[in-house]
Amino acid sequence: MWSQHVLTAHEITCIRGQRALFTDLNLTISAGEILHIQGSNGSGKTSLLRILCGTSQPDNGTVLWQSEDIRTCRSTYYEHVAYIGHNNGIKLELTPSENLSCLAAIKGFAADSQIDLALTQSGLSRDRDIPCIHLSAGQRRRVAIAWLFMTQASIWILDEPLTAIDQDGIDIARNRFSQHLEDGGLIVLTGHQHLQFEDRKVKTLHLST
Amino acid sequence: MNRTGLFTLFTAIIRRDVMIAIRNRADAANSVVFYVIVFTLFPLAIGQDPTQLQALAPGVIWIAALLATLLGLEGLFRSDFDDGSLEQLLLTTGPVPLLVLGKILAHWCVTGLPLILVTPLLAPMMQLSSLSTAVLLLTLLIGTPILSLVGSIGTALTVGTRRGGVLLTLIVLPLYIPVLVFGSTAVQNAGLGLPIAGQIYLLSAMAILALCLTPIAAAAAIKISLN
Repeated sequence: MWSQHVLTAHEITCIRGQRALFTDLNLTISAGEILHIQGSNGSGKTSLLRILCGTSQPDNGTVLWQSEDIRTCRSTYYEHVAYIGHNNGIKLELTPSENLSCLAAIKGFAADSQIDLALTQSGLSRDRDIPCIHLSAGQRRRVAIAWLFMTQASIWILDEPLTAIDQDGIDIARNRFSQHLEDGGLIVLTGHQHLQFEDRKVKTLHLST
Repeated sequence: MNRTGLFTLFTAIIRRDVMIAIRNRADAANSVVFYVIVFTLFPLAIGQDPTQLQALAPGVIWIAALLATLLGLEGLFRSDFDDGSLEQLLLTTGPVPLLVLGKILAHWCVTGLPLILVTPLLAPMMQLSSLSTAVLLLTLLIGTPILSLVGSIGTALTVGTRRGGVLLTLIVLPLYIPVLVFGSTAVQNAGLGLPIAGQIYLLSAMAILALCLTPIAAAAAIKISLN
């Protein structure tokens, strides 16, 4: 589906305060590949993801999408990006289904017909009309994950997507990742879980402090 | 999923924010409660002398409206910043200034508009004539959106800092002074039977300018804050 898609980071450097988190980092992710960024707390995993998203600027270097700087092709790039940050990006006042509906609307989609299915697939069908403030941390995380069942983006940038989720939820997410890679999507994620897919090699990147 | 147009995007963000504000009534009511309190305390403190109240009313009411807006301003981007949805707003294909404008308008609907709606009920306490009240409503209707729009830049700049409240006031207050001056003098002039067209024109010009430029500045400021 997305066989030509390539995301490249070219010699990126990130400095926080007095410390260089990483310097001249190069990485390439092509269709069907998953990159697992590992490293201890504070080693710059989230900073790297935010740079790949373009929400944070690297101190040096560029991030390229299809060999074009993401700063110059912002709107075409974001059409292909699904990002789940450290915070879920969901509103606690709204119910899971309202959250997904609002998120789709903000991303410029009319997707109300797909919400029920996405919530069922992520195991939230019973909680669809309960305001998220009454849901547990794991359930809130599942609402964020449910977006992955709706989005048409090819690049998934996920910051510890499996935090607070139970084993059942991890299996659901892993199956979804697997399917996405099958479709030719790209995944970049962080997390302390060990990730394994039967027929696919997981690329890993170690950030050292 | 089907792509939607820019207008749908604009109404969607307004609907989202208004819906959240309705679920979170206590926060939204903060500004209007403050406004009502200031409005009612003044006649009690000053006494019932009509001429004195009439002379003070335009300034007092406008200061109350200005401070009430300032009070609600910090909430404009705060919760979206804290829960990560502000990042999601940036990661969209649509123009960010349009989303920001939607958020500001929604915010004005829940914090600014109620001030205007309660004003006619409170105006008799300040011994305002019906003409002065009408002019007051007109100036508030043009003026409070300017306050929200201009304030959004300061809020966007300070949303990344933990205690941005004082900083926000320092950034925004000087920019509010022209609105305060023209808004209150228009009401004063109406009370004295003088023409008010000049002030209304100037306020309208400022409103249009703010409407066109501030969302762009606020969107840029959000990008800086999130970096």
